[in-house]
Amino acid sequence: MNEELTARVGSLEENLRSVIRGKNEAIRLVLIAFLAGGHVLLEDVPGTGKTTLAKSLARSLDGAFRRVQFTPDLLPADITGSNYYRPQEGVFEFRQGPIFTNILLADEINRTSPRTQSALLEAMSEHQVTVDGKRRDLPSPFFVIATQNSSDYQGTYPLPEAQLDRFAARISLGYPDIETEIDILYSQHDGHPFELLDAVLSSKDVLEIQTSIRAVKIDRSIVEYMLKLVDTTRTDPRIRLGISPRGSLMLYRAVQSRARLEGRDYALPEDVRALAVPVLAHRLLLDAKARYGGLQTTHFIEEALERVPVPR
Amino acid sequence: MAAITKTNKRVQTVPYQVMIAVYVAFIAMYTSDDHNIILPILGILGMLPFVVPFRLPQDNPLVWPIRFVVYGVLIAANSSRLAQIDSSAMLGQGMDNLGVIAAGEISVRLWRQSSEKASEIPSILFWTGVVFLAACQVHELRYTRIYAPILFFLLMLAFPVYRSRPAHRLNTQIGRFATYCRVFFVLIALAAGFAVFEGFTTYQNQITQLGEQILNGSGDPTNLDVSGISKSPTLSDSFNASGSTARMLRLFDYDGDPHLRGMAFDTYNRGEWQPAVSARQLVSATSANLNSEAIGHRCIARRLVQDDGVAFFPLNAIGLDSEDATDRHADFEQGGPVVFTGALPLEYTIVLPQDPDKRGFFNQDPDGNETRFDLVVPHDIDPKVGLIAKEIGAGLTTPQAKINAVEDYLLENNSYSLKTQVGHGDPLSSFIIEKKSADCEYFASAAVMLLRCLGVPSRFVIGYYAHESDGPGVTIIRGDDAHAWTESWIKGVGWVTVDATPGDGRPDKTSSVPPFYVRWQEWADDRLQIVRDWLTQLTPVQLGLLVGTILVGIGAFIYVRSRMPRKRTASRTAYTPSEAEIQILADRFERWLKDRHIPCPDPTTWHEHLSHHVSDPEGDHAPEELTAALRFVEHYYALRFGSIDEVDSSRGDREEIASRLKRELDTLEALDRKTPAAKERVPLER
Repeated sequence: MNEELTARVGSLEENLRSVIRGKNEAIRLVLIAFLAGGHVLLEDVPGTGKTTLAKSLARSLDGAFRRVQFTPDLLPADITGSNYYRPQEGVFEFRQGPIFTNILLADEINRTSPRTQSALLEAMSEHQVTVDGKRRDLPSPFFVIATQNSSDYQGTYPLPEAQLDRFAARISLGYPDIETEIDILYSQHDGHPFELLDAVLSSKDVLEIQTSIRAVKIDRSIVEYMLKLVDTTRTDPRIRLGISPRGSLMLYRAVQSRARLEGRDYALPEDVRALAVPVLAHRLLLDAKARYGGLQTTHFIEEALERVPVPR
Repeated sequence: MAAITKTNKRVQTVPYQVMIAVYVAFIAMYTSDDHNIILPILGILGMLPFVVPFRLPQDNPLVWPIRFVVYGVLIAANSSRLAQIDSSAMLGQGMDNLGVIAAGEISVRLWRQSSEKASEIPSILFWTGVVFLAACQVHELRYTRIYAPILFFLLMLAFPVYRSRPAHRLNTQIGRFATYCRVFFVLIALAAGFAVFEGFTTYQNQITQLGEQILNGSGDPTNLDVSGISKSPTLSDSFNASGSTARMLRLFDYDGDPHLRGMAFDTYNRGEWQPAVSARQLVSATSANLNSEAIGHRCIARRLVQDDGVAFFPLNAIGLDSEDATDRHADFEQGGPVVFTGALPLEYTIVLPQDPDKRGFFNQDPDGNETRFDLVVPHDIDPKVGLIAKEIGAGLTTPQAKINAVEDYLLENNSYSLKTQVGHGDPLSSFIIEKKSADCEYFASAAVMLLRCLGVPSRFVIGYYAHESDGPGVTIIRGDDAHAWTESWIKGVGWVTVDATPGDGRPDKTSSVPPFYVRWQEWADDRLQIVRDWLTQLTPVQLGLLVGTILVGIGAFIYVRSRMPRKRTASRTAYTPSEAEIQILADRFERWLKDRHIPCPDPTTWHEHLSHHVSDPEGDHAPEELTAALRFVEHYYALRFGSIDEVDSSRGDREEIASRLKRELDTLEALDRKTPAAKERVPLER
């Protein structure tokens, strides 16, 4: 990655920070996932800026942005698009659904039926959709930011494990502190700062960065460290479903991505430690006993981080 | 500390620059030492460690016996080889053996295991220099002219390699200074080596003479061979064509007699022709007595080697002139030589007569005294020779008929060979009586002696036989064109050339055509000579400007190179710290943390741990200390987890990081010793 691109990624981050105040960690995580080629699940209470974050990211990129509000009556074809019959010509014509975009904001993804949710599956992992047996490629880069309301379980369909595993990271924004909130209120005194954003990265730049991330070196000791962490989730009796190799691979990429964003061409154990919770926790399924015992998946990963020796 | 399983072990081979330098020195030695077969063998032996995993141990007393065995075998083999080729100078032999031993030493070193600590490269470079110096002093000096620039260029290339290898041991300031000092000394050594090479080429005669004096106790220069012609010819077992294919003289527009005479000898004594040139009274030669104003066909002879300055020209030359000569001497009494001394390129003009029968300026009738000399048949010549002569000359009256008869007799009874077995007693008599085969010196001597027996004044002449064309109108004379013949005096005609050597023994048949690589070298040498000629024409100011421009150019190049972003790829020569070195750094730092009472708990990284302490307002550690420690950790990470293949120029290479880390640790440990500053803060705040 050359210096100009590094500078542009920096200004992208600045853009996001100017809109979402006080959430630098979360913004960094979103960027890491995005540049690693993964997708992000934002899980939080309403009104914490999930949609704004997604929109700001889309606006900072010189790419197409679509938003789909997931509702219980949404059908798969509403996302992927469908074939329409044109009586004049007597032919079927494909009309692209909102998924044909660079950045897709899947708002309140847990409000729609599992059938529609799984329509996203193929798109997220294969970067393609199949309509009426015909395969259609999605534009590149393709990035899904899904939001999920965790407080409200009335009328929701929890995401299946396979779906969750396809998200690179689950990120929670949380409430801002008082100082930050004062700042937020004042910053929107005249208008939303979101409107002042300029596009700083093109799709081509994003692809270039995504390629350059793969050149980041990860020492074998770090890979071993990662896999020891992953292994704890597979052997612990409190865990019903551990981390899949897809999860390890996602962690590997995310570690590379974080190293690059920090301006390094090599990964550090810190990268793994910073990313273990957002990248791994949502992939775990706890045993019923442990769950009722009050254990959370994030706690489990944090505990593992305290247990597994770090390479120095 | 987690175990590092990835190995970064360096491939243990010698860098290519050094290897090529070694082989250039070997080739120089091989070509200048009469195609010494030992050198190719050693070269192949030196190549084998690249494919064979076996190595000689590094610090093992066994190496010494092996080395001495190798030396012994080499000296034995080389001495038997030298005995065969009849090397003329003791010093040459000594240097020859030294060169071969140095080459053997290089081969042994290439077989040795190179450890982390010690590098073989400096010693290999040193022995390469010795091989090259030996090549300068053995027979064919001219090759070294081509090899010297190549070798020195390669040695320069090898320096960075040399510097980067042991640098990881030398990371302190003193160590760094020592590295520079060493490089400086190697440079001085090289410059000295170059000066020695120059000295050898310039003062070879004097040095060889000195060497002879030291080794033999005799400083007699009369037997020295310079440019393939001996100044006092001796009939020996074999013909010493030590000049071999080296080019001596270039003639332009020459179409005269191929016999270019150098000097004549009239006294034969126990297989040796005398008086030696050095024993003669040479008189100052003027334009008048060299007849330089003579009108006729003028051709130019250009001398290609710096030698004793003997001018070669045919017997019928009517004049001789040289503008380049600083000094001219001649021996008009005894038929030569004419000596022109001066720096190369030295050119002289030979004036040939339009009328072929016209006598040359040097072709004077001998006075009575001289005629007597030219008729002497010494006592050590077997009386049977006189009887044979009588048989040959029976019934013949004219000198010309006698000459023809002698020529026919030798042609019929003796054959040409570069080697002959000299019997007891006089070699010339044994050649004539036993009808042996021998080289041209024997034929010429035999003709002299037989003609003298028949009353024809004759003398022994040596010179060159001009036969090889070197382009249109250009004739080249090589060392192995050296020839010997007879001059006989016929009353009323003057001196005539009598070449009794059979046709297959003359240089146009015996001299070998140089191989293509020698021709290529000659071509390059000529181009170099053009540059040299041009340089000698420059005034000191122009020369200074030229050197200045070159130096400025090199400086500018180095500056631009250093400014350019370099993408360096990992190569064998790139320094990669070993696992052990990194481990040592880690252990030292852990120890430091313990000493400072902030040991790092196990599942946290140093960075997290130190960052926590930095942000802790209750901590009793000096912030600058923690910042320094954090900086160390960042640099350590770059080395420990950083990329090997991709070295970022802004960050400096791994070698630098490693040495910086050691310096930083030194600083940290030094900080530790003056901790009171940090401790004192606590009571003040209370």
